[in-house]
Amino acid sequence: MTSSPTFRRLPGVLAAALLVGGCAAQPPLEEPELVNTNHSDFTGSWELNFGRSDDVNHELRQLFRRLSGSTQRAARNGTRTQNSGLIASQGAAQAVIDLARLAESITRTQVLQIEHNEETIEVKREDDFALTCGFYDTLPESAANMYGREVCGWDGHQLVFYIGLPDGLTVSHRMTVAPSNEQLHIATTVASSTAPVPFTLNQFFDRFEEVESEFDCTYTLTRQKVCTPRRASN
Amino acid sequence: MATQSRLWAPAALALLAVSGFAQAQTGGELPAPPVMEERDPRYLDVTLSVLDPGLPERDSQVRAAGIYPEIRNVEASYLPFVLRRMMVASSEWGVVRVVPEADPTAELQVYGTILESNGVTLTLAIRAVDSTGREWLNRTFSESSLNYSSRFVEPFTNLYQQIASALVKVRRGLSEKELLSIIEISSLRYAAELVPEAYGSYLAEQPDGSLRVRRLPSRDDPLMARVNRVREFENLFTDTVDEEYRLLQDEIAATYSLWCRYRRQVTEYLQDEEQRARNRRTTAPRGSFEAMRRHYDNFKWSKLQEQQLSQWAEGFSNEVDATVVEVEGRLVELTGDLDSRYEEWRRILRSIFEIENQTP
Repeated sequence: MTSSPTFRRLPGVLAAALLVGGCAAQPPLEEPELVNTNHSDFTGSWELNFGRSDDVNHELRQLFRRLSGSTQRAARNGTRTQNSGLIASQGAAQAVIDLARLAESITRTQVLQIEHNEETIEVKREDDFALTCGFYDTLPESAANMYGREVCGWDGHQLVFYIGLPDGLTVSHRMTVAPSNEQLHIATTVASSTAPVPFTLNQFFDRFEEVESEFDCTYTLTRQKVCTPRRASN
Repeated sequence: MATQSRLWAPAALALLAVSGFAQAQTGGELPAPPVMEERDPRYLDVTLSVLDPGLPERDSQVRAAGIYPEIRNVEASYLPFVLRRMMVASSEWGVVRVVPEADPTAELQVYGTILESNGVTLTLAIRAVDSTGREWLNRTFSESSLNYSSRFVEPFTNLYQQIASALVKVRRGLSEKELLSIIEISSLRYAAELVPEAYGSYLAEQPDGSLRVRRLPSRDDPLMARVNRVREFENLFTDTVDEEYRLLQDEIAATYSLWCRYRRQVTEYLQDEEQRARNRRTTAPRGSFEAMRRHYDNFKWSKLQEQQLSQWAEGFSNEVDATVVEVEGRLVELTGDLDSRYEEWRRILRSIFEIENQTP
């Protein structure tokens, strides 16, 4: 994958804005405490609202501005705040930029198809695996294989998918549906033990009604997709 | 439609036979005596009950274990047929039947639980008990489909062969007297279940829980002859049920075989990939975009494989569900019918026994 021109320019620009200080990598995002009580209904088709969703470059600049501002204030006051001095070197800046690139690459889906019932939810994403969760027990559902670990469940009215990957890399998707049920917000946070701060991208999706197909299709093992013309409803 | 009428044929025949019997029964009669053949005690009749699918209690455990319950349930009734085929082909046994529920009066009853079935490994816990209560087998059989290089060979053939051979080995270790005793006790247990007032005291339980014959009915015992006739009719029903299962097996065999092949391919592929991932050396520095992207892609790839498997499982269910539901419906009908007939036969036989034992 090649960097976008903005990504390529950013390290130099940001390094210049960074102040000297301690270079502390933060621990990756902690696994959230989740429960498994089914709340909102996410069922439906959702398309990305570009206007409301975050632009990765803008968010990255904002993040650096915020951090450098906090470092400058700390330097002026002779105090250290939680984030002061975090982006202290070009290496640390690059780590945050890499997180942003990863966040951007895993949030490219523009359309989501969600099937949600009392027992399970399946969030189908274009060009990526579906996020799935079962609500069979009160405990959050978790699964692991040699490549990573997944935990999902509810944090209040938000549905959280947390993925723990090697080298302290974590990805979390926090989904919230608006009370009107017409908008969906997903905050995707990527964190790494090698980056000083996590990076979050907010995406907003609008509900849309899919055009009803003229065919009823069923997937079968031996004949693959079998479709028959849909009967007109009375 | 043709398939449907083919499926219905044996059931319809059985129902006709029974309705004929029901008409005859209005006069308080029992079925006409079947032609009894001399039995060679080596050829015991075997009843294979549908397997326990071995599903974990909680849905979350089923999901975590990667078990597809619909497929496991189909396997529970499909796999005994493969074993039956082996046993019939060996010509070592009498009638081998597959039934929905265990029959403790059977000459030899084989029970089983699916412990693992993932396309690559099949593990079954098998227990076999004869009518005397003697345990023939109680062990686990396991086999890997990776031992079969040809995709045209039914996988796990060795596993069924091992079970069949283990049963034959036990039978060969029994004397003719012991084998005869199994047949007699099977017959007496059936009679005692049907008319306990008459035959309840013919068997005695020994300290180890097994049964022995305390006394035998006379060779010309008319009540026993009637009991045997009822049993023959029950067997006719059982054979109809068995036929239903066999047809179900024929219907789903191709789909099941494809499922096993796909599942095996995915498992093999995952195992190879895992090995490659372990041995892969990377130059991307830890925490770099390339390294993080690789971690994410590996996880994504494993999830996509998992989800492909789920889609195939759904495709399998979509394809066989209609047949399974249809057959199960007919089985409920048949067994329900048998249960009510059985109660009626029980009532008639008891009445006969009471009449015959009235003091003049």
